[in-house]
Amino acid sequence: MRRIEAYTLLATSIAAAITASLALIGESRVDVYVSVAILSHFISVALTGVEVEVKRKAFTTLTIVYIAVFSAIVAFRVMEILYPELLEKILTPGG
Amino acid sequence: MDARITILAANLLLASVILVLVGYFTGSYSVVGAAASIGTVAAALLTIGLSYREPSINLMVKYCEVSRTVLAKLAEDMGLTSHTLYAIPEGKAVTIVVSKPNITLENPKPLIGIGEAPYVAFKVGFEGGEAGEVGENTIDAFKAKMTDTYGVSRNVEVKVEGEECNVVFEDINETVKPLIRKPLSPVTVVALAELAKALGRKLQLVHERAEDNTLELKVVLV
Repeated sequence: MRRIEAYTLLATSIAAAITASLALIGESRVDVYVSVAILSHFISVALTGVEVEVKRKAFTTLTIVYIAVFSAIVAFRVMEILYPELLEKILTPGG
Repeated sequence: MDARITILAANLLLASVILVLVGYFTGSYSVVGAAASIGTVAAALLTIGLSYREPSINLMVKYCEVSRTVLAKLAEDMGLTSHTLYAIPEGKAVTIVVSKPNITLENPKPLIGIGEAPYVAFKVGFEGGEAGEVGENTIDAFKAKMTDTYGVSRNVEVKVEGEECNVVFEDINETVKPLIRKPLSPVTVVALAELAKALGRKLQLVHERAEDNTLELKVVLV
């Protein structure tokens, strides 16, 4: 099996299993689904080593975008707990 | 590019967009979340599918460049500064000869020799039938070989007019691009060998032009 095929199988399996579990427990926060899907991508990359079969520039761009999205989600959640007033002020238009 | 993964990713992306819309308009954020998860995996698969390339290709490109340098130096040392290529089909192989233009070559032997002029020769072996056995679809078979088997370019135009044959490779594969430079481009060598095998005739390269992502070859049937 080629690495790209192993990656496809692993990433879709992990994402499908976790997404189904989250849906079953009634999770409705979209960012949780996205962050878990991003994690499943990084786990699959680490386990299969698919990056050697992919052009470096495209793969680096994808990694940067996913890390940025994941960091934004985590930062948002941390701010929600530590500084809820500040977050509300930022998100409220004209606030 | 890996077509299968790309098509799979495009389908997943489409499904995720539809599910996002369904979830949003029905107010079910679990569905939107699941769709976002599918979309995230699909985006990763699309990027990987589109930018996929065989892992050994860089090694092959490097090896081709090194071999070409050695052959070019050998030809130069033999006084073949203005050389051309000949392709001579013999059974299941084609002998590629680097020598002076417009000379008669009689049974050149690999690797170096002197006939009417000094030459450097090497054999390119093929699987399958003998040279010239392709039959009626000779040109189509050649085009399919260059695009599908070797993946040189997206399109190959071949025009045969009398004893002249023009071959134009359009939209050359990004990976192959560094290899279309003269002299002794591996693309030219393999194309010449394949054409000689398909036609079952001895060929001489009379014109070669590499530009951006196009390679133009003009050969005469000797």
